[in-house]
Amino acid sequence: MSQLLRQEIRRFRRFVAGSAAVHLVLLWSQASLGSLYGPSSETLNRGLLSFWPWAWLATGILFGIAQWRPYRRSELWIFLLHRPLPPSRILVGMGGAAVLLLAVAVPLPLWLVTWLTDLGAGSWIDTRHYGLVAWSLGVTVTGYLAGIVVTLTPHRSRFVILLLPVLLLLQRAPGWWILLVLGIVLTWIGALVAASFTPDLRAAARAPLPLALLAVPIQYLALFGLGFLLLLGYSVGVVVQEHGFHWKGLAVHAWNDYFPEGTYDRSFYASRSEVLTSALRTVDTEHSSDLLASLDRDSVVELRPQWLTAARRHRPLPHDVRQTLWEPTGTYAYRFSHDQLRFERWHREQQTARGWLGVSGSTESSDPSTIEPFEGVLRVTSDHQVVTARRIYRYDSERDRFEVRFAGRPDELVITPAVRAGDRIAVLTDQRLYLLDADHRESGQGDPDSSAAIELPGVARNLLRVVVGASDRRQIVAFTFGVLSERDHLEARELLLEVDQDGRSTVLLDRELGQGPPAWARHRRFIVSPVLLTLHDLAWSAVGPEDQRLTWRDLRGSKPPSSVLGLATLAALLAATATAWLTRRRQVPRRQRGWWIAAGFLTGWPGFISCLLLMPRGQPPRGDPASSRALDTG
Amino acid sequence: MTPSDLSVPNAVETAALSHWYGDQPALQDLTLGISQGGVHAIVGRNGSGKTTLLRILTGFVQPSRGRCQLLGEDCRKLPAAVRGRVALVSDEHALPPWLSAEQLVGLQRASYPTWDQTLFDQIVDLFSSSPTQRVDQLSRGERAGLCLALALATRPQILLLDEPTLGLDVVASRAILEVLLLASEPPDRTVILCTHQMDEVERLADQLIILNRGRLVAASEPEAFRDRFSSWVAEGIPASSVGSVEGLVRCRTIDDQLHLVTVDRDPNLVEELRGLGATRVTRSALSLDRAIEAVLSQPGA
Repeated sequence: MSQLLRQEIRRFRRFVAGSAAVHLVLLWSQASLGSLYGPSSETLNRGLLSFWPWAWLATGILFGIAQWRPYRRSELWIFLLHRPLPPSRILVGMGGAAVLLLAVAVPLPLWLVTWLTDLGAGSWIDTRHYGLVAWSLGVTVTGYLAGIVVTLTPHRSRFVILLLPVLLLLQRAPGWWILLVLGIVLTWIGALVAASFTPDLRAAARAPLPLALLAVPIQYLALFGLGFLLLLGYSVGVVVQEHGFHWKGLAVHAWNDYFPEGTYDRSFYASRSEVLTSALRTVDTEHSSDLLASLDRDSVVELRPQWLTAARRHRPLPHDVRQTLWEPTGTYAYRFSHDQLRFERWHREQQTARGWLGVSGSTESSDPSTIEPFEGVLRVTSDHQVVTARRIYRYDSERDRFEVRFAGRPDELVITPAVRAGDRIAVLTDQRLYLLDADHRESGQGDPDSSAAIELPGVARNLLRVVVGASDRRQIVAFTFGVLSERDHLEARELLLEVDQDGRSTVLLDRELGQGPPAWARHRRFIVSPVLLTLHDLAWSAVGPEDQRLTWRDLRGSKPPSSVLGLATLAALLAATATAWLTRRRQVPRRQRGWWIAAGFLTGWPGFISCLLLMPRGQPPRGDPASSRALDTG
Repeated sequence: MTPSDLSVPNAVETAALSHWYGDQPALQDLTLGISQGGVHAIVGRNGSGKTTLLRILTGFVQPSRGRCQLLGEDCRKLPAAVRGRVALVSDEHALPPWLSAEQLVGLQRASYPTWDQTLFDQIVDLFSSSPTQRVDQLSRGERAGLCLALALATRPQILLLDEPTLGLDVVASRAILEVLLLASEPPDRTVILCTHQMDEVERLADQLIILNRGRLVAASEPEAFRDRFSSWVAEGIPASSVGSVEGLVRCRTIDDQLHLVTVDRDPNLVEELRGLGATRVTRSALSLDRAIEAVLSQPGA
């Protein structure tokens, strides 16, 4: 095995040396242009996190194909495997060599550039950036394993396995859970490679484990593909009706930007002033008409909740949004270090670190321990606000320190920055909307001196947007609930409140927002496969992007209408019947037929499609075995 | 075919072995036993299932139906130890083109504890190739010699050869033949040779196995097989009158003479043909390749 490992290293040494050199030069150029992860290269940094993982993945895939493609020739495959060693040891030898080579090509240059940057620039490289080095190897190895599957598996649909590394790069698991996701993807593709790595590749591909491991990604793609086709069908249908009968469609789709009044879509896409004017028109009273007439449309502001779900400190990857304070003179930038939970002062021209800035003040020292850290920063705004979970600070550049502008009550979480709305300042927490006086200064601990504190009229997690406008020395506030999710629309509601000068609020409008498309179009993925969609929602609720994540409560609460349940059941029964017909036609062995039919029922049409793609067309004829016909001469 | 000894398993044992590629049969209900020791030649037309049989024996093709054993082990799950006792040389003599002979030797030596460097050097010397040359720089003959040397230097108990001289020039073919003669010397070694070259069969084979369209047609010693066939030339009768002749394998009319090939017929066929109207009948022995050709070219064979 060690001999095999050495041979493979010798075989690819030039390719790997070249790749490592190119990688190093590109990374070093990127680091020289600004800094690899630093504040002055925000665009490049975004490039690092969005471009390089794809490049590492592609490197792994191409290497896997390059290493294994010659062995698709059966004679070479026999040469490799026909020896007194278990195939698993041969795979370990070849794979071990590949991991070593890929480690030289991908993480080594990244580590080198990170380390040199760290060495030259002080301490602004976080632990998490070194985590990225390990992550890069994980991504590359995932690509490598996918490349083996693509090369060696005889199924035509083997390319579907590439979906797994793609999902790996799209997921946003919090904290160290990201390694769990990486582990699952590596185990998945690794198991497929190991199960397939037997002398007869065709027979191995027909074994239950590889079939199941390939069937799930196919079904997952089919879920979204069929969902898209249903949406397309619905949209085309609406367009046809519009043109044929001059009927205005009730949906929002690619060819129709019409948002019906009172629908979730309207509230989702409408501009902030449209939200208020539309709601006031709906109220349709003399008072609301007065409010509408005196509404200062230019001062209407919007607050969209953001959630600091967990401290980013010691997360393995720098996936967070860049949080940088810009000094008015432009000499310094303050970049938030998620390891230190303080801002690092960065001289923009000299590209050097010049001390730290924390809650309690600043220091010129490279050791930040003397100043108090932040709890974690939700957002840094262009007007020098630093929003943390409990407080909003404002940076005073003249005094080079922070002052507290808002402090919520101890049980509250701040979820937006402070926004000026006319003569008030609006701040949203997970429990209240505060409308503070414009000259408000924080006076005490956890007791905001506010003119108005309006209790949220719904669950904060389900809050889509809040719009605040001024009208005749009053505030008009619209709350829109209902988060657009993978399951489409949850229960959506809109409330319109009027807040007087004394902070008293009156509800002007409380209405359910209607759904745009019909139930079957909104719940199209559920109809395609309730089981797969639920599994997807469960997985994505843990590892999806934070703004698209469903909670357990959302999942439990979103029950489709009975018509949708009926359609989903009918679709599952039809899919199971079609799968039974298909497996019979393709002479699938009896036990496997049972599994496929069960899959057809449980996963619906995606199950049928996976059976269609994975079960071979040609099967041996099932005649009575005839004896060998030898010359009857002995 | 040697009767199976209860204490020593046959080198190869198949029962109702069948394999299809899609809906095309490659082997059909093949029941065969090959005893240990000796050279067993498998002949047949192209597509008769010879290569498939070798691949099934080494586990690289899983049979669609039936049983197949190599040295008493199920070919579907050959243990590594058994694989170490079996060497295979394919017709294309394919080796990783990026490796040199030296590197190949390093790889094989590390895998096979039975590696015999002296034997390897002896065989490679016959083909005059340099150990530092990469495989893609070798001629076909040199590559064939290297393949054979790599296989034999592992001192296999079973040597599987799939048309080893295919596409080689006369010199290389002769060298391969000499190596095969050397390879067949150890009495406990079983050589299974798939070939179209009848001179190889005649010189090497202890047993002849004929496959046609995936089915077993015959299995016996080559001489015994050949001796069962006779060639007859009859004058004065039409081909239509000999259709009922027992043991008739082939009948052709050339220059108004009827040329017959029969199997297992005694000399009294002369009287039978004369009874059918033949004015003159002569009998001659048949060469092995003509006997095989006669069997394989039978309509429906």
